[in-house]
Amino acid sequence: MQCSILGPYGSAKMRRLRVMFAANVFSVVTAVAYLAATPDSGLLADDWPQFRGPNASGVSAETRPLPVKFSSIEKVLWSKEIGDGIACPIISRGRVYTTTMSDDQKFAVLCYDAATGNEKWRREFDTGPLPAIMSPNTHASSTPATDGERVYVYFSTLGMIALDAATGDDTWKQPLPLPFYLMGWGAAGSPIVYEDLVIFNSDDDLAPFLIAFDKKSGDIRWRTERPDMLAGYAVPVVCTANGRTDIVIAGTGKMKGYDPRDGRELWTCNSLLRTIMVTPVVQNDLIYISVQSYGDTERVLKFALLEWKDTNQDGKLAKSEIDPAFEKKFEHGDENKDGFLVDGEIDKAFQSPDNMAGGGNIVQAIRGGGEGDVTKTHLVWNINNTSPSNIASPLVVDGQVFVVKKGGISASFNAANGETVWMQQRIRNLGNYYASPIAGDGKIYVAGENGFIVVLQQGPKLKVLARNDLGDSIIATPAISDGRIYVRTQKKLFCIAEGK
Amino acid sequence: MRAPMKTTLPRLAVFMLAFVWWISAVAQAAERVGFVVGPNAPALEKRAAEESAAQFQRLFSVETVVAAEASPDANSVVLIGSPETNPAVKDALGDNWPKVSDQGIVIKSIERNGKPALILGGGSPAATFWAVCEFGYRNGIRYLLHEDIYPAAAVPLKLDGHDVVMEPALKTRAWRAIGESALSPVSWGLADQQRLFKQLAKMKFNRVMLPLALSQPFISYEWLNEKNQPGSFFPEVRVDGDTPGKVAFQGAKVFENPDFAAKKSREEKIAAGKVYIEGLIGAAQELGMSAELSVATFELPQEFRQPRFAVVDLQNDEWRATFARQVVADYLTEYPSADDVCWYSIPRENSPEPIPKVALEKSLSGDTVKLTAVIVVGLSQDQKEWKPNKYGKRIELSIGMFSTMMPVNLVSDDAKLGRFDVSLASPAAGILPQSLHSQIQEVVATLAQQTVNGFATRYFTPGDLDPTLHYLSRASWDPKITAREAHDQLFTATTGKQSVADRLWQAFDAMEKATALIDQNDAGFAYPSPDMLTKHMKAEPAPSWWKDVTNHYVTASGEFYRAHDAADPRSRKLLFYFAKRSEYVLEYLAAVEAARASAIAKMRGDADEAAAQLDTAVEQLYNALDTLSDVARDQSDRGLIAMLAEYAYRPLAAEVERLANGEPAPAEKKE
Repeated sequence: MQCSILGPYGSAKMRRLRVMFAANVFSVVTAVAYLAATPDSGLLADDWPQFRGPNASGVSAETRPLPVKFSSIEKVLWSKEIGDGIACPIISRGRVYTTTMSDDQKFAVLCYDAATGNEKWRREFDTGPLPAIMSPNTHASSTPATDGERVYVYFSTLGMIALDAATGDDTWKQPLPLPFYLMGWGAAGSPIVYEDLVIFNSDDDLAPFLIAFDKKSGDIRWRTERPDMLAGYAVPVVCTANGRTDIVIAGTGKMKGYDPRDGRELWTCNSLLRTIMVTPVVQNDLIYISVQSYGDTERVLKFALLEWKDTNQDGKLAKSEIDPAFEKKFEHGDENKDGFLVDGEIDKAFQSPDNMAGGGNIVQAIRGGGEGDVTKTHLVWNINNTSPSNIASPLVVDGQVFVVKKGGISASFNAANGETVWMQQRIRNLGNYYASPIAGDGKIYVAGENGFIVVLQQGPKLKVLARNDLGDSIIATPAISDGRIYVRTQKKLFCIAEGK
Repeated sequence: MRAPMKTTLPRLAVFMLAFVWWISAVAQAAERVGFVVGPNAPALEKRAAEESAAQFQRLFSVETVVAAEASPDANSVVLIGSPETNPAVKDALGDNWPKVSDQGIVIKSIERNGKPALILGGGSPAATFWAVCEFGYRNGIRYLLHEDIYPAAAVPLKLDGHDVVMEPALKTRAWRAIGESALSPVSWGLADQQRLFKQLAKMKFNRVMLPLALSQPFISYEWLNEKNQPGSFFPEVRVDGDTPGKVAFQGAKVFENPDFAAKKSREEKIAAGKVYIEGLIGAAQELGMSAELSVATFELPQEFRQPRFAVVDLQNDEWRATFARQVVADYLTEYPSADDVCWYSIPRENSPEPIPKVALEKSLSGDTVKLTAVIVVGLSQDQKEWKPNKYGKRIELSIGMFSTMMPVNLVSDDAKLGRFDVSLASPAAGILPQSLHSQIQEVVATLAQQTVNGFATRYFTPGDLDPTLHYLSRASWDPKITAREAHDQLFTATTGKQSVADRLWQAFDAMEKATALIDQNDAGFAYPSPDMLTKHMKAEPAPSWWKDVTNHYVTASGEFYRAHDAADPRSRKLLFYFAKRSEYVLEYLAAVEAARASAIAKMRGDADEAAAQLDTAVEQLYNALDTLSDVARDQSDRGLIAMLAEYAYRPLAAEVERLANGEPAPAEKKE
């Protein structure tokens, strides 16, 4: 009724607000629908069952009041010293799960009562010798996923493990090839559960692949190679469009859709950049992504390798300068067999010739449900500015795409058309951002590496409600469930709630 | 399917049993080395035996047994000590024990009861400990301030062919173990200091200096019936709230020495101080290092600067001597276990004689008088007229050390105290990562030529000192070793690759060039002081050398990361530390440049640009401290973050706030 007073179209501002409101309602509906869409899933609407919650959206369907002001003491329902790691907490059926390194070569999966913090069970696994990784990555970086029955956990040297969610007992294990990273970053991919499948994407520099396991038996249902990918960490997301549900994965230069029944590649949108560490967000039939990848569009992998891996700086890569795991790739690229890789030989060895993506900055919306190369047909909007982070994923809520990067510099775009809502405004908390923003109860929570969580008001204007000090570095994306916020800092797990 | 399984399973079981037997046989056949230490050996020699046994286990994958007699089932034997302390050494060598000083090291292969044997000993228990560490070094261990890095794989055990006798060229190798600021190891708890001392002992340092300031709570005394009112070990710094890099403090609100936490009353403070100093003295002596208290009485402590003490004039010889006499005597009484007490004085105006004419010496001569030296600091080259006296000789080194370092020292003839203060860091470059990897070679060569007994270190933080200390530890015994040779010995062993050592040489070289440029151009550029960043907010163009300094650090940073990526995992933590600190300095320099740009914009009347540049300066500084916190590994690193937050970040942030609120600058307020 109020809209009719403004006439058939209303003001531009009101139209934008209406679009945002509709999109917001839809985001909540989508999140709930996503949970409900999993037959025999046993998940509850309040659950946060995987990395960044329902479909990795970061958006909670929470309507109960979530705290605005809190600290490492204030409004803390419980907290636990859990050891070193950056795996996010996940919550299902009143239990919270996460992982940690309990010793140099010991990996632990932890289960606590979500309301009290009482330990329900704890499993430890010997990892064997571990490869070198680059800070701030840790070996306990993969976020588990759950369907309420089982908890699915990935670890680089152990593969995929399914544990009974109630007891922690082994259900099944599937070894996976050890991933290798030219730049030494280390593994950090996380599984998801879709219908009766556990789906895991392993984009490394050696042999990237996408794999689906039967969630009950652990049998491999399908495996699809992704040979044109470089190392990346996007978590698979689910997109339903044109009456079809696809598994969508962002990777080097390309966003791709796969058939969840057999892993067949259905479509590709060749609009991304070289290094993809962020996870896209799906809303309606649109897939949103924001990426910063170091350098300009000409900076293909070769230049990074010559800068950092050419140890003696002679302008060519010797075999001894590359991890022995890449020997075959090296030989493949070494056309003149002189034992060195130069220029085009480096490209040939390590980067797919039909995917020579470079660096840059993008924020994009891509429509799902396509077939084949959809670059020209399904890229709904694409903007090129310096707003995105290379690690923190975008948040789509209230019809706005929200991004935040180092320095606490935020930007927001209209989700429908990419128009700027605000550009490069500070959220008043400096430092690095590795955790992705999350939303619930009309608020946005942005966790900084410096241990502060900034609370923003959802809406068309940037409004900082609070800046809360948790006192320990935060790399993992927090979780929202059942009126509580779960924050995994470098060493601790906090449960924060109103009405403590 | 069943029939084959019936035959396969028993075969498999037999195979498994055989495999288990083979594994246990191999295990039983592991080399066993017996370590023989004298039954009445000094504690440090027993400690040396334990250290050596532990090193053998990791280096050679052997089993070890330490006892007064060799275990009969030992395949080989290591004798620890000298003929005086270990009868087994006496039996083995008799008159063939080499003639060595109390610092001399002996590593000698022999045969004992038909088994290969090795003697690790020296002219004193400390020298025996050094012999053990030297043998470890020769087999690939590298001793660093925070850790030992071992070879990547087990090394073949070779006890024959060793015949080493070593004497140091620089007999005094002293480490300043505390200071007065959060950056110095005075912020370290005793347990951390003990670990550090052990690493220094492995590097054959033989003296620990404990410079004590009268403002610190290390002594209780009265002066004109007024009790001293000492403060903290160092001025505490708050690290709560908006402190950048605060994750390094794990929730603490104040940065302080953990052993001093919550000490409020004078008595509590002094008690904690005494425990600390006694602990440091004991820790040093247990490792064969002498402990020296260095006492300075340059000025009266704050509490004695009240009107009623106006009569006291430290320029007056009488007062000067009286005060010094009391303080030194009190320290002597308070810490009887200290090996020496040195009184630091400053030259008086218009006088060639640094020692007050009054009978300081006489008044103390009746005591045990461990006052074995009077060190005069603050001499400059133009004080040519200053003459040596009985306490030592004047040494003037014509070496290209940092511009602000005094090239003149009074050096005692005393074997232990005759050392030269060597600055391992330029005060001008202050809190920035620094290197003097090639210059240090010249310093050591000059010291050796001057027949100076040794050196005492001066530095801001231990952070970047690993390569320099490694060089000193080697060159003290072999002054001919070049800096490059020592560098390669350190980094090829720890990183596993010569190519990585090459990159690190480039990195340290670039850092040294940056250090030299700063040192030549701005004596206070990064010296820690409350205005260390705001002082750069001058409305004048940035000097051209700033860009060169930045470029050198960019080079260093790239090389550190390149080296890190290619290095063996054993050394990655160390190289990541260097790399991150080089990143920090780039962010710090960016903050300095932005602060300068802000001042220039303000002078132009461009308020928006001035504010934007100031924002950039604050953010860069924030990032700099965040970066430091990523690799903060000790209290000095945390102290650096705390101090930069207090001296650099908060004043800048306050300036941003002031601009945002439209308040006048403090100077404008006055007007």
